[in-house]
Amino acid sequence: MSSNSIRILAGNSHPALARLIAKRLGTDLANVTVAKYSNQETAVTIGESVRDEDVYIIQSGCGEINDHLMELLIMINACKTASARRITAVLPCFPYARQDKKDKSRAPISAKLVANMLSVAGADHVITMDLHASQIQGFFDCPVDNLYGEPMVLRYIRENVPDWKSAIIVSPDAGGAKRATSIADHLDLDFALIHKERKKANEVSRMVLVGDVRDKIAILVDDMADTCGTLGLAAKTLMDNGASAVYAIVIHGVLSGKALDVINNSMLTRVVVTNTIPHAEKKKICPKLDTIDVSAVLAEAIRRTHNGESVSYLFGHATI
Amino acid sequence: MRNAKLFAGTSHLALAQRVAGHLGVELAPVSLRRYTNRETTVDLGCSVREKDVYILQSGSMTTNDHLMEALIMVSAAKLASARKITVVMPYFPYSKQSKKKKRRGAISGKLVANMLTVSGADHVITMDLHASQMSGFFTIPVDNLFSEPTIARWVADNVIRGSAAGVVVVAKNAGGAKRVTALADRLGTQFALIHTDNAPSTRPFSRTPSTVALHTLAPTPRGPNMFASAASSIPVGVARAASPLAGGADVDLRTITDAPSARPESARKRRAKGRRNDVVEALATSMQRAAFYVSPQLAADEHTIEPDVLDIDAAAGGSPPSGIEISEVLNRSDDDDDDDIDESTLLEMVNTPADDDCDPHDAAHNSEAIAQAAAGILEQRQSSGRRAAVPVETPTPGARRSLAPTPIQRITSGTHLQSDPPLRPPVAVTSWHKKRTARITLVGDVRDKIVLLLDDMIDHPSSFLTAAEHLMVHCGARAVYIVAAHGLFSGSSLGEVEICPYVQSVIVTNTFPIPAELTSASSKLIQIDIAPVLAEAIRRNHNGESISYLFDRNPL
Repeated sequence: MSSNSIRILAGNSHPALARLIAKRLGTDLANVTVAKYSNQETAVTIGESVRDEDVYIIQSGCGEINDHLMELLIMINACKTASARRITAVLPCFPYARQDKKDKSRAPISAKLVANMLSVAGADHVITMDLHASQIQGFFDCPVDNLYGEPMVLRYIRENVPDWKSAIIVSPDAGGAKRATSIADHLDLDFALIHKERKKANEVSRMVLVGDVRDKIAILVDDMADTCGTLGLAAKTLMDNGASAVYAIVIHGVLSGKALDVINNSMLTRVVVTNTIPHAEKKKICPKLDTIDVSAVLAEAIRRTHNGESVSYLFGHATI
Repeated sequence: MRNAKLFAGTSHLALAQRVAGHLGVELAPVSLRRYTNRETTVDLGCSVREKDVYILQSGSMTTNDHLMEALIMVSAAKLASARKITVVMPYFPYSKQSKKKKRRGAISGKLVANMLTVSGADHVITMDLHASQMSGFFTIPVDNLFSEPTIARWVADNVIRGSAAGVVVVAKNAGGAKRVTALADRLGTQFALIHTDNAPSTRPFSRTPSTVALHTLAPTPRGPNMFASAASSIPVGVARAASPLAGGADVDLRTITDAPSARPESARKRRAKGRRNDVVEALATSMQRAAFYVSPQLAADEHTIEPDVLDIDAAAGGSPPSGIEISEVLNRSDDDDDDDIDESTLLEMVNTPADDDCDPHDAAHNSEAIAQAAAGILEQRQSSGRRAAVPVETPTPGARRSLAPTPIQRITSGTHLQSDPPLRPPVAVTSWHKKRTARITLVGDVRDKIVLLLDDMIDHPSSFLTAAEHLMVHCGARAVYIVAAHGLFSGSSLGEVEICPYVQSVIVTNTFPIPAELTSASSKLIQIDIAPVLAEAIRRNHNGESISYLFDRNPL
């Protein structure tokens, strides 16, 4: 009698990543059908028993984000009512993470709403990666493991950026300075900061570079790239200031809207994203894109959570 | 304000009175008292039925007591059928603990949020939360006010105007970059960033730095001017910052080891009695916050806990002047036992095992506690007229036991204390030396400019002073102003700012209570009054008007 074994379920958001994770854990994805009724309601069928199992549901916040969120909530709830022992929501890219504070008057804190929804649906544990603000962990009443892509980014730079020892790490905005300095410290590199001055009436926003990038490879580091407008402008600013090449390394590559055009037409040498969000199709259009695989760290976090081992080792070490 | 009552806790009465003044109301009467077993009790002195209740309580050096007081006041108002309860916390306690540090950290800010909600609060008004995401910790509305407009106006009027030199806003770490760019944009100035490279290889320590300090500095000459001599004999910077720690530790080591080991507890008490009057007087008058922490253990030793309430009116010998019965007299009855805070503090600190898990970025803050304690003692002895009290963590009965002879012996015999069980939540002391050896780089240009060194709060100033020194000595800045929304200044912090030649002034708001003795003794401290913003926020809240006006502008 096998009791409390691991069950990996996947939604429709990122089946490729889910398969990679399952493969690394030496198991198969559980048999789940996620479809839509003709009235566009989501229908979930869990095809095998999860009673007293340790269930992990992998769903990233990307693409049709609301549909995928709803899928995840319904799957959690289905497992809950099917007597799963513990349900862990694995969200490689946390949806609505950028709406984490009242940055404007009357702005909603939608990340908190998502957290509440996950809890109400029945999630006992959440695993996610590079939250836009780590304070989001405090939005939950259940444990949240916030994994870091940083070890993989460091490894990528060491292995793939030519002459990285003469590079400089650049944060494209002030909010990301801490992330950039952390990477600069680990690689023992210099660091610079780009600040987009606040737009005033009839004045084009201006980018100010603080730090010296002359004749260096500039590596832009950020947690998320959406339309890539900032990255494109930042690359131009860096080249204008004498950088020899500009790389951009981003954890969550949303790459929506005109992002691919912007990248293709920009001075960026390469844009590196992790596979928390699928972009296989986008790579065909945009040859500058490159991928860091994070399935290993997610799989290892799932394995460690399942076995009750410490997850903190993963914060500082890249897994193979 | 019709149908509204503004109550004040004991944490920051001066601010509460200013806010009340701006609102044109009296503070509502409330009696806040302590049972002899140190439980807080609250008696709202007027009806709040169907009223909007505003409770102003800031964080303070006795955070836990004041937090508890606020919670009990909220609960009392709730039970008394208040229509709506708004907690006004200019400085939100535990706001630095807003995220899980890399390993197993608690999100205590969230816990406080939950506690406020559970006690019955309907709305929270606070100011410059350490992370604005914290408003998502609540299920009730939170108004996070900003001091930036007020500070910016003060700086524009008093620093920028009439000065030929340009101004640069500087962050002392990468985490503050966003705050700095916001102020720079508002003032229309340049900004820069200091980056301190914490080489991870310098840790972990095999023993606590505090222990090291006790050993290496035991034989130094002592005397009233010891602090000055120690400071002058060591190169400015690293050692200057370290010297108060060392000196303070020295003083205390002597005091402790002098005690006969046979009956150390009683001997220490006797010794303490001699100084007791001075210290008690100093603490009672200038540092009621310290009085909050007077040893519960000793209290329990010397008289049994009585069930009846201490009547504050009686203790005060009459009713206080204002309509409320608050804090000046609140703790007087407890002061009897307040004799040897300094020794016990340091011992408890020393007994704390080093926490190697500590996040290097935040360890600096934690390490401050011990330095504060040591330096606080030092300043107390050194200054002739004025005495600075020592901030003391609430000693649990378990922690109190650290006064037993065994740990003292272990300190003097040079064994490190790593193996001691953690007696209380650790005050991590790892980073004291590590921080000093770190490499500092400035990103940006400050030459011949006036620097505003900005952060959201300043407690122990060592990182600010190191940054200021770097800016003045290595980067050619013309003057350095330290600017922060919340000024905590525990222990001897203000004294250290005072003697630092690289800092022109330190500019904070009055969200956090600083004892008047300390403010008046400091020539460099400038406190900007934030009461108009709080009052306006309360008024707008009460009248159902928009608060967002205040985010960009100054009231008045």
